[in-house]
Amino acid sequence: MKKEKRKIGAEEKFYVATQWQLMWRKFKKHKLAILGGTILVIFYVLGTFCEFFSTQDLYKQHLGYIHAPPQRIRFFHEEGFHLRPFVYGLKRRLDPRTLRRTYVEDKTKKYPIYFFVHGDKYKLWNLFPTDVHFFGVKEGTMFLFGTDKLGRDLFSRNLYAARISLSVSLIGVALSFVLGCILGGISGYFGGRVDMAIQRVIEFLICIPTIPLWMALSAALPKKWSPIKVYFGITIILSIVGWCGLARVVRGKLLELREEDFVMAAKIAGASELRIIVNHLLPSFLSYLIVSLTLSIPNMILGETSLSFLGLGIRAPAVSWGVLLQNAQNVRTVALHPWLLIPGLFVIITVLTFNFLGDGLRDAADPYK
Amino acid sequence: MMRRSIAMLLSGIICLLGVSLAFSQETRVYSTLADYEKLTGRKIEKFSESPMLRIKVAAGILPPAEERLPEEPSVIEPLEEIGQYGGTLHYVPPGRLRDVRNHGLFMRSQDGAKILTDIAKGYEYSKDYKTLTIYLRKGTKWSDGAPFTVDDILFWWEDIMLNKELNPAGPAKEWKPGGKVAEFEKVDDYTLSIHFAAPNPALMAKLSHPYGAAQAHFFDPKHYLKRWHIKYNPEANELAKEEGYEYWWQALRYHEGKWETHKRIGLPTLSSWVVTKITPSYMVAERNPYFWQIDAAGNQLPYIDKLFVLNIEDPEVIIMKAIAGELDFVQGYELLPMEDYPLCKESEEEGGYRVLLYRDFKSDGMISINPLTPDPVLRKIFRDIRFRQALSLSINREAINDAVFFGLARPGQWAPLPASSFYKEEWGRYYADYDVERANALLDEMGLRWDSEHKYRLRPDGRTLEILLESGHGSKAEATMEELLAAQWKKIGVKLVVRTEKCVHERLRQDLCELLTTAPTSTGWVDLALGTPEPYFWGLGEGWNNWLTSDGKTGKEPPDEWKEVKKWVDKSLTLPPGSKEWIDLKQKIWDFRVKQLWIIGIVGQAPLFNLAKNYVRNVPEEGMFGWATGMDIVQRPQQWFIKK
Amino acid sequence: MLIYVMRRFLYMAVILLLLSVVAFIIIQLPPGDYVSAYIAELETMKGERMEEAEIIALRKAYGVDQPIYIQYFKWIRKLLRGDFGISLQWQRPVIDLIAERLPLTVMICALATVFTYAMGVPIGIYSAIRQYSAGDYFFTVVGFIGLAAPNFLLALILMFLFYKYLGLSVGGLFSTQYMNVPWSVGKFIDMVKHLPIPVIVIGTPGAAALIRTMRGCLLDELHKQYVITARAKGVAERTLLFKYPIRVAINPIVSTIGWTLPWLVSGGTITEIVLSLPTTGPLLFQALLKQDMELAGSIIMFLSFLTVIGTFISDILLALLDPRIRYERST
Repeated sequence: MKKEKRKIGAEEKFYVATQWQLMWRKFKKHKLAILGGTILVIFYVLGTFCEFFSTQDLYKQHLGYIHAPPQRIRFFHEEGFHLRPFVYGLKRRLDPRTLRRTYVEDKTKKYPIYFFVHGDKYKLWNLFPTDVHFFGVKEGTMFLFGTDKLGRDLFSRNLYAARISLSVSLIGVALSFVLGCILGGISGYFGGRVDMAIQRVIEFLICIPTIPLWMALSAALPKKWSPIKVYFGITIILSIVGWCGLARVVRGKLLELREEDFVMAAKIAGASELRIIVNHLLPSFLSYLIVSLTLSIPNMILGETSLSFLGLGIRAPAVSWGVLLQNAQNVRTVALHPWLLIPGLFVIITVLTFNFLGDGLRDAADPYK
Repeated sequence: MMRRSIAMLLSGIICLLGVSLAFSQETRVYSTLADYEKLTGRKIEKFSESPMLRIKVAAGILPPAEERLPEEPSVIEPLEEIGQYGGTLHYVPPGRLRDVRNHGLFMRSQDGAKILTDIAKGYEYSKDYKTLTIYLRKGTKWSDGAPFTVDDILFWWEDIMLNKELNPAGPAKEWKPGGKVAEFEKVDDYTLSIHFAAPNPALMAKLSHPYGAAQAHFFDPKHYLKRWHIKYNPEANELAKEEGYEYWWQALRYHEGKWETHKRIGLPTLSSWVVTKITPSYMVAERNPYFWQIDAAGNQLPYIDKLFVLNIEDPEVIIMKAIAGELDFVQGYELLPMEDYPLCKESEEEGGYRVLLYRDFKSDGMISINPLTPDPVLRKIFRDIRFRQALSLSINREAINDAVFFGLARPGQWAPLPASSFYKEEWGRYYADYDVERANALLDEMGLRWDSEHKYRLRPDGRTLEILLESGHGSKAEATMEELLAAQWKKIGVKLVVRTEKCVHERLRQDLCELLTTAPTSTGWVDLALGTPEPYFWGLGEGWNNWLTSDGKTGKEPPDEWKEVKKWVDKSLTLPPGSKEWIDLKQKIWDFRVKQLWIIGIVGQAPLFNLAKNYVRNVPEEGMFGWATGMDIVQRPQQWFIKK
Repeated sequence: MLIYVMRRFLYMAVILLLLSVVAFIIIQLPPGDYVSAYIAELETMKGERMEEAEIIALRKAYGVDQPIYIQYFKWIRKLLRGDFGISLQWQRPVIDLIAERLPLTVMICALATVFTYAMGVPIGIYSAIRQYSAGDYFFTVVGFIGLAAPNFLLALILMFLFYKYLGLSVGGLFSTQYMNVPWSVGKFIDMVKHLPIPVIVIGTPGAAALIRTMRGCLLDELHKQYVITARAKGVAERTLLFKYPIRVAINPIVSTIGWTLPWLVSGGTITEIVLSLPTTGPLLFQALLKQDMELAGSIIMFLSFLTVIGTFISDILLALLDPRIRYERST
């Protein structure tokens, strides 16, 4: 078998390859998608092992370094190049007139950066106690993304935030995706009373304006719940509302598709209803679903930031990008300490990469075209 | 007889003035023109008015200034200089339009420690404090020209306060000393006597605040409002229905305005500006042609013709507009957090404004502990004074002051303000030093063991010692403070869970909170010096206070020592504020109260700031500011002016 | 078709009634009510507790002392009579408050919608036809950045940049000096200067999404047999595109156009809050925060009504555009 295959020319390979191979081949052509996928993998790894990759405990307050700007990693000192990167120490000055805290680099203090340093204690995934961090300084302080109003290291906080923002949005989307496909599929395929009933429910849910709904539900969640639980609660609620749009799209397409000949053929061949929906109809507009899916993950992430903006999302002390941005949405941040906006950059990059990835997947899903 | 009492009263006011002169930032106000002339030796020969009004007078729309002003106008010696007429002040935020024009019969001095006259000319208590006589200025007129007399006060009292529909629960307790509702007696159009069944010196302390009467303004324009009142208009119900209400009293409630007179167009007022236009984006108020005050040169106040209040609530947009120089005045109270101070200060030149730094009476930093916490184990821990002492000792007040208030607030224990006559310095230091070791020792002594990892302490039932801290008003400063506290209390093994809930006021009414930042009863400290009634139990633990207030009919029974405190408080209400007896008693009450530590102070007199364009003059550059003195009104905004 | 329309009308009425219940619950769900929120506000401001007597008076004045179901029936009865009631918070008729803000709201959001479609549809078509071209990539990235930046952040940063580098007045729709004057050329120009930020911020995410959808659907169609056949037969590329594929691809987009109706009124809420625009979004948000029943309830009902109508329009449009969807069978 293998020998035979090798003999087949490149042209013919195309016809013999499985669908998945074809998809992969097509996907590889989409440069942005590859880039996006790679970045996402990195983000998810960082998020998953955030305790390890962060340089500090996320709650550790350095009251002497409130609103310190990001420190630059340097290779060059006055006397020349250093193989081992380092950061300079910071000197704080309080402007007596404006009371603004400003920081200057203290060139006399040099803190070299090491890999696998011992730092703040943590428990990885709440299971394995250790104090080894991927990198960091052995003495002094290093704030790669600067600090916030309590002098907490924003680099570490952003990584911890990534864990929550990235994971929680997946759950929400998965839920609404499943609900949307199933109910939309049933509605579109069966038509009649079932369709009517499902459509009315959807219509009803869609009619409820989101902001009041968010506010009411977030207020109604039990008080004793921890902020994280509250957020999971809200995510689930959001996805329950979120599936409606998808279901309608699925239905609309199905109404169209079920008139197609191959459905008739399958029916005549005696395929069960479910089989026809799952095996024949859903794959037919997979590309459309993939676009919707990749667009709705970022929507969830954005939804989370919006909820936080309105004060309804995750709450401190838990951190998510939304929570971090909540502290950044003011003029003084933009004017005086823009590094607090870094989580916004993370959100933008994540959303972008998800979209690129989705684009690539979409093209790859139709490898024969 | 009356003349003598006024003379007595005058000497009292002179006394007050003597004291207030010590504060350079306090505007000098003379209760009447005669006072001014007598005290300064200067004469005011002629009244003048804004060009805007002069045109109207010339056109015959308005009577001349002499006829519009009362016979005895109040005289202001402006803070910096005699102002210029005219201009429009672009003011923000909208909700505070009330504060610039919030005149009452009386007011408080800027430090909150004195009672001054405002719309009224004076007052006098009988010796036994059972009769209060109030003197109005003869010839004072509402903004529509109708005379303001005792009838307007009686309308408020008899037809609104005592009306079962409008005010089902009847007047508040300061009107019922000895359990009997006060009696109002109209001596003449400008003199009112109020008789009480028991001594009631506390009433004036309340009345000296623009809203101090708690049930709004103490007077209402009868000539305007009576058409909605069933007593004066039998068809009031029909009128109300026409306007979309069900009953007459709903319509009357609306037109009366209560705390929102600045949102009623057409409602006559005694304030310096009359609201003339309200739209979604702005409100406009124009000068009251009948305002009853003049400056030392005989100019009728206010100086500024128009207030233009932008309807922007969002602090970020406000700051952006302020930096861009678009706003003339921004009142930053509970709007601009101290965090914004550096940005505002840095942009001073660019925006052509100045940042005015004041201090708040109210404390932004305190923790109230609920002795009636629902959780029985926690409740037992809370009731052990050692626990409260430990909590207080483990707060690093300096660090909090530094991080949140740039070191500008005053760290210390919760206690009355130093301006109070009965203040004792030791209160501010009581268990207010930072001593984690001692705190831990106290907790060890209580038998609260650490968990196996030495992370948190355990409660007697084996659970982690976790306390829920709720945010009293959810300000930014408060949130930061809570996060700092959580880190500090971790050092004594107390796990603090911080939660901000919208409905915290409801929860604390039902005694559901455990800890609370900034109890809603945080001010009042300053009016204590004036003799305002104080709650028996101050802090969380509504149940105890209710029990004491209702003599055991409702609420939960407090420990005996609080019953003792109730006796002291009741006694203090019958004594003349400031007398030695009164001071001794107050000190006894507060000595007990402070040392109970049911409220733990962190910092007091927090800084706050307003912004004013450089051309807006006669605005104090420093001092106290806040609700306790009625906000802006204490700065006498009628003397603010736009310098050309 | 007529029967279908009639039936839909009936359903609409039922749904609206159900929605009124949900709206009422949504507003009442957070603990407390308007008066307790109002008292909290006053107490916070004053820093002292309110007298019990005062609270009772307030509760009565605002009518919240009655049982919840009575409040509901009172509200719905008034609503059915076309009376929207009086806002507790503003103490003014709800209808006036909404009417005051509606024109500006609709204007901003309509402009944003126009912006969305004007950008979305042509760019989407372009991206599909010129798949993987430089232009495709450019629009993809720019569109996605618009989609990816959280609204409130974008609004804030744009506002700051506009002020800092263009020296423009920010926030609201007018500069202070033009607020209290009648319409003039100057005032109009001033307003136009204030419009770009809200329109861009509100419109961009929609436009980006539209580009994606349009591109996706059109690509699907372009690869279908009939297009290939037509192309093989030598039909001119332009005719080929506009005759069928674009019409088909636009189908799901048109079918959702009705949904933009409620969005016209509340879509930009967050942006509008950040920019302090005098529109309905922030009004609703404030009303909800303060549990101003009549105001919040009316706006929600108004939005729901628009949504129901919008969905209805969408369905009819779908049926008209695509005769293959047979409604008779589904009814």
